[in-house]
Amino acid sequence: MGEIIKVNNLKKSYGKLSAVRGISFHVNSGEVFSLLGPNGAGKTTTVEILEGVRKRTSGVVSVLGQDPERITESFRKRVGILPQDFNFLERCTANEALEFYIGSLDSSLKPDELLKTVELSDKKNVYFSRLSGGQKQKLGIALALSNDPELIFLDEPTAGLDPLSRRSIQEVMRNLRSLGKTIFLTTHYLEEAEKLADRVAIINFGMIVDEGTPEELVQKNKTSDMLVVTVQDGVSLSGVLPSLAREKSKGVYEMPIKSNDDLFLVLDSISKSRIPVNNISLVRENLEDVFMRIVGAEENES
Amino acid sequence: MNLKRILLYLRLHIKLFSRTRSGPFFLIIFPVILMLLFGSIFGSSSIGKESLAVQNDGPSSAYITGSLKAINESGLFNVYMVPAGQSLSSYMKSNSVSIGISFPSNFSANLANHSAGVQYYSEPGDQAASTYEPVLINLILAGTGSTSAIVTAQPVSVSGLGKPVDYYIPALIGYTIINGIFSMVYVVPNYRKDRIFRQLSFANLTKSEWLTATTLFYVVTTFLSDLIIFGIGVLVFGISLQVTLLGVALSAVVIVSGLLLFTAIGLLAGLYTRDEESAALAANVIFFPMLFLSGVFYPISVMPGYLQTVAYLLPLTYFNLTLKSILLYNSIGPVLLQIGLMVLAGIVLFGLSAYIATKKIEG
Ligand SMILES: Nc1ncnc2c1ncn2[C@@H]1O[C@H](COP(=O)(O)OP(=O)(O)O)[C@@H](O)[C@H]1O
Ligand SMILES: [Mg+2]
Repeated sequence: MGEIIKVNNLKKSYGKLSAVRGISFHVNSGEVFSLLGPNGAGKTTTVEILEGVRKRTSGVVSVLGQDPERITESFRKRVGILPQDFNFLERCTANEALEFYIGSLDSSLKPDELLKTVELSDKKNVYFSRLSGGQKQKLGIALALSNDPELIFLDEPTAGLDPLSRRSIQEVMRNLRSLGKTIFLTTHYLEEAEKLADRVAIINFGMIVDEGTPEELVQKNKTSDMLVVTVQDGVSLSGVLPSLAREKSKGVYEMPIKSNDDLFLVLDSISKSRIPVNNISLVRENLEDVFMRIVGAEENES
Repeated sequence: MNLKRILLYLRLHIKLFSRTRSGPFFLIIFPVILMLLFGSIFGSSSIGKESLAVQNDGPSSAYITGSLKAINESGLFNVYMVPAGQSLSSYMKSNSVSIGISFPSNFSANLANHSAGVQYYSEPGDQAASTYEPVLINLILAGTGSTSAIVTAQPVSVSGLGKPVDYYIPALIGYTIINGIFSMVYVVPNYRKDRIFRQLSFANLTKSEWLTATTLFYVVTTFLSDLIIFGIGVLVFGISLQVTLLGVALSAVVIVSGLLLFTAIGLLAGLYTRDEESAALAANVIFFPMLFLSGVFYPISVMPGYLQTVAYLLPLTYFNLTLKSILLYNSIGPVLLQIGLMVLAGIVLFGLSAYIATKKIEG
């Protein structure tokens, strides 16, 4: 089916604040597309514009061939949404919530199947207010799936959850992916995008700063690997590898390694010098480092 | 608007409502308690008879004798006869009698040409005295076998001897109407805060569908509590109101208009305040004066003049008076215009608040 979402030069301002400043991207049918960025980057603004919840300031947006500002009932039947800070009626059970969604959206799915998909079958008759954070998110995903949608928006589905719940939800998302659904996932957890997404767009201050598969992003932004050598007190490597070694802190040296030959050469020299070494490690940059460098590392909460 | 979705949400809403503690309490149990309470206080003659001073300024007649017989046989009063020519009010003051009636000299003669009147004496501010007024009218009518107007210009039914507890049927129905103010007042700010409306819109439920389902629910449950109040009155306290099918239908119209009006007020309070607390405060500021001044707990006529002026500025007063007129006196003609205005007010204000809600609630 090709491009299921098309966004061209999308802008959104709240008064004087430009939350989204002219972004363009597309999402292909059947892929997991992740909008990755720190808090306040403009992810929710973007995703809610795509969902038809917010109005844009300018730009062209097409979702399932429709302009989300003029959505119809049929649009809601084709799209599933887990909003940020998902919430539901306190005294409603998981089963009742699903029954309502299924009925209201004229779906033919069964609450039990959906609860099974999100691994929540044992909480079928538990009030929403009594579910844990992770269980609430799972119910939110089940509600988003209740109309058997072609396209699912998940806005920070694992934000604020403990690592175990996060992993469990990621497992659910992997299952969705294998069902062939198109998923639009926003997250500020890099590891999540890296694990789940086919393509990632990194957004910061309302602009897309990079885009590609996780591997491409690493490759493109990759600096060389680093060999880090820590020597014992009182000795120095400066004389051994003057051109390569850079003393990062006292007794800790960093050397960029571009190839295996580089590595062997350095190790050889160290070995010949007989300088007492405490530790040697090879540091490979991953998407996390790329991401941190790109977004300026001003954000650190998880 | 999609009926299927409205009914689906209504079903869900009923389940959720039944799980809250305060909802069923204020809608069903509280009015029941009030009815039982007022019924026990005013519905039973075993509580102690009310003293009644009676004076006849005219000649003795079968009408007077009949009236006195009916009054005596009701068992509600200890009757003290005051000789003609003596000041009835000074007698009442010196003997601490709170109610008095005086038959004017031309009473019997006037009864024939349908212009008879008795003078009703009561302590201003005496709640019981005022509730006995319709009772005495009924008793006199029964005693004289007359169908003509007595005391007030309103036609009063002959059959069915009223007890003071009767008064509380329309009054407590009035209470259930004004309770409508709370039907939306907490829910709207909370649902906005929790973004429930956005979540419901993902299931295609629109804000107007939500409002329709919620209001429908409230109308039905209010009818239910009114029916219970009525049932308790009839079964427990043996009330026999003069109610016709038309009277019931018109009462239903009055109740629905009132609910629309007060639901709209609560909805606006919920929309124009920041959180549940200030919304509740706003609603209570509107609710309490009406609860105490619009004739729910005691008749407006017992209040001092300046408070009566205030009472007539409050919308609930008109709902109470209209219901009283229909249910207590089966007097429909004089209140038809009033009912029309109440229907109009309910529809207009509800429509307006619903429009504002769909615009103002985000998501
Ligand atoms: N309704 C709003 N009104 C005003 N400013 C907003 C609103 N929603 C978001 N913002 C601002 O827009 C920016 C982007 O927010 P958001 O899209 O929520 O980012 P993210 O989801 O990436 O954390 C932030 O600076 C935020 O404060
Ligand atoms: Mg967000």
